[in-house]
Amino acid sequence: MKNINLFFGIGLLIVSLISLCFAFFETAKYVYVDYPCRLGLGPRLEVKEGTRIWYCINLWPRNAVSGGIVYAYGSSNENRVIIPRQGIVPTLFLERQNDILIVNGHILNPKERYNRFLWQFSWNIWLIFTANLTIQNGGLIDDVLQVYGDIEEGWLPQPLGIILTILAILFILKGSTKIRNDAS
Amino acid sequence: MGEAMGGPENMKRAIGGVFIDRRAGGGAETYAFWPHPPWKRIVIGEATLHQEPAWRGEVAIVHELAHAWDMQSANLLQRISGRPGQIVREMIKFIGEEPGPTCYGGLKSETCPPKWRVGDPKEEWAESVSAYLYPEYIEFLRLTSEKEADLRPLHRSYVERQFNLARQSANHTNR
Repeated sequence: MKNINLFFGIGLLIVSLISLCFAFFETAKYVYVDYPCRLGLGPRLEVKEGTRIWYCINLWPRNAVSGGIVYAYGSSNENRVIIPRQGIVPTLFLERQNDILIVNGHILNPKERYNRFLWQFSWNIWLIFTANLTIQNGGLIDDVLQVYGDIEEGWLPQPLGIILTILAILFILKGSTKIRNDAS
Repeated sequence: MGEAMGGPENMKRAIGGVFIDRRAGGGAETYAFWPHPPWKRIVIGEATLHQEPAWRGEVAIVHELAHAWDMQSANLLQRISGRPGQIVREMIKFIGEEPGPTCYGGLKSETCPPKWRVGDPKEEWAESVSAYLYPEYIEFLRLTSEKEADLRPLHRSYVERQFNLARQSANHTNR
């Protein structure tokens, strides 16, 4: 290739455009999802004797037209529950102290909430994935601490996409100018 | 649901045909953006499908079919942009401020989880269809978690009208 600028610029532009197409599919809303935690049709968990913590956390996916699904649910006979990391959501450590809930070191009294905005660079140069995490101390019911949660997925545009596209255009312009100059 | 529409053929005509698939875990999903199976499909978890009493699994299927029914009334642009179809858009106008049947379906009561109080007409429609066909679902919710659950007159009337339309359009086509 005689003109490395043109070659590099076109290559970068192709990567950028392909990435943009994937970004569209990654953020498009195309599926109805059901059922999040609720007593109607969602998961029913029998609370056995000796249960200390009961938890149910919903996920409201980025691609959902409407509705939500269960991210994690269960119960424990111990005062501590660990919900492993999944995607953008970090490992959640839930700890009970009487009617107090401790979420990753944050103390929540009954009915209080822990909110956290999470974000992560996507492999896609146009996207940053986000999530709003809410964990609520639902208080005690029959000496079982109820923990509810919601994870709302979202996205933000990533500046790298536009930066690389501008760079690609600059390389192409520089390359084509060089071709014109060489020709004249 | 087929009976309420006057037979499985009418139902297929109204909903446009859906490929139903089962999987080991999870709740239920409806991919409704494509007009025809197999891309237009419902995927439902075994645990959601087989519940006690059995009608709970049926309600789950009916809820998803109601989503597919609404999408059948949407044009291609509405489908791929995740906007509701004509059925849900007209329902919004018809019901006005009347609360939906369940917390998940637009009840907007103080007793509902905060996230659900915003309401979503697409879920309101699906829950209304479920409540119309399975009154025991509403009874169950009232006894367990949602004391205010109810299929109120405007919602009932609208769902009934849609079933009547599905029957009538089928009769019209058959003539």
